Amino acid sequence: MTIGRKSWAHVRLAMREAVRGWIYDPNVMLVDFGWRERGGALVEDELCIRVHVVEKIAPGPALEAATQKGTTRGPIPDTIAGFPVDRPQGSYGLHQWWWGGGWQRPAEPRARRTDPMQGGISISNAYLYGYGTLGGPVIDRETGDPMILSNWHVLAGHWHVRPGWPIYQPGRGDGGGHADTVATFSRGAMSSSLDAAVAELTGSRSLVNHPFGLEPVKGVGWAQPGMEVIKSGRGTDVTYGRVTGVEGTAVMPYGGVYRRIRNVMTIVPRPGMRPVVSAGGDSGSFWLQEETMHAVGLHFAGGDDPERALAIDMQPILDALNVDIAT
Amino acid sequence: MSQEDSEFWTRARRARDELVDQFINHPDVSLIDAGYPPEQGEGTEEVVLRIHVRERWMRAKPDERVAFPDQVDGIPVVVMLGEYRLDTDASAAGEECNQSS
Repeated sequence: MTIGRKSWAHVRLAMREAVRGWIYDPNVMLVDFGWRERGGALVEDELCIRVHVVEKIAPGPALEAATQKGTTRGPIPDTIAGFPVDRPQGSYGLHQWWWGGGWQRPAEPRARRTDPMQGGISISNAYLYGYGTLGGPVIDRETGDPMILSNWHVLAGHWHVRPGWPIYQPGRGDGGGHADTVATFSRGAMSSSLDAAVAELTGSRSLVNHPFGLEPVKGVGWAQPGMEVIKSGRGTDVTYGRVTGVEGTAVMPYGGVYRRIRNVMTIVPRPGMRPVVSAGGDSGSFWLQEETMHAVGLHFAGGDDPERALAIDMQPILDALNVDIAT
Repeated sequence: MSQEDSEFWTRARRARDELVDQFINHPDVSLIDAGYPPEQGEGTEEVVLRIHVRERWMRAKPDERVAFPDQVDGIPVVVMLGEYRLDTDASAAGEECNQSS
């Protein structure tokens, strides 16, 4: 069963009503839209609003007592904004790694401490409670030293950033800490309306030109509409896209401040491949022309409905930061 | 790139700049670029100017939302839905990314 674009607009409006009405119910942990559950199995041709309850309370005296007690706000309706409602049981918790829980090697290889480092793995600055992607190695045009290239909002993310700020691999959201410092912030390109930055390696680990799961990068190119591209990122691994827009100017919020970002390309999923091109965690990935393995863009943003990735032309980034792609 | 392509792209950039000057600061606009119309099928390669708008523009009545031109310098303009977010994962530790200035 599929939903057309206009119907998704109605779904989202209904979801807002459902969330407003029920997300603060003490017995509700999640409100989403998906397949109905019946007898422990998912019914794949019945889409509905799902209000996940911690405890299923039967209608009648038990529900009245729970309402009076404050365990729940009351009966969840059978429909919201014209959509059927299901009430699956579900209790959820955060999947944080913490010192007291003992060290466990992350299951996701891109989330691990990696040596040598490579494009496509987890990275962050010391103050980001999350992670982005290490794009790949670049070479400082003046010194010839290798550096890490990623987004400004991954390597800095604060307007008061200073050169020397630590960069962790893996990123802080994947458990990285002070002992995982691999580089220090050097300079960014936001003043040129490009969400990009480079960091100097500390020398504690090496960095190779071989994105995780891909062939080595062979040079730099320019994206054109219709170009088939590929990327390796912490969020969605290897994805395949097709460039459908170029020469873009976007406005994005950075810490509540809207900034223009120029040289933006739009990438959509390639027919016949995975239906996703990007998600959170992919910021900083290199988009490569699949035919030539030339880096054409630096991923920085995306959208889910419709599914699209946004990247910035690579050559202007290299020129603004005074670096070259390492090949 | 052929001369025809080169001339087209020069016009397209100029037209895009006009649209950016007029509309990029509007709260309903997220991106302005040049590319394929969103519903275009494989094999058709017409490049148009594209204004990506937020969902509230799509839901608003025509007389309650900003109007965009149909074309600039002979290049068609299409409006398409585009809601975008930065792609870090700042929710891994259950805390919001502090990016305040």
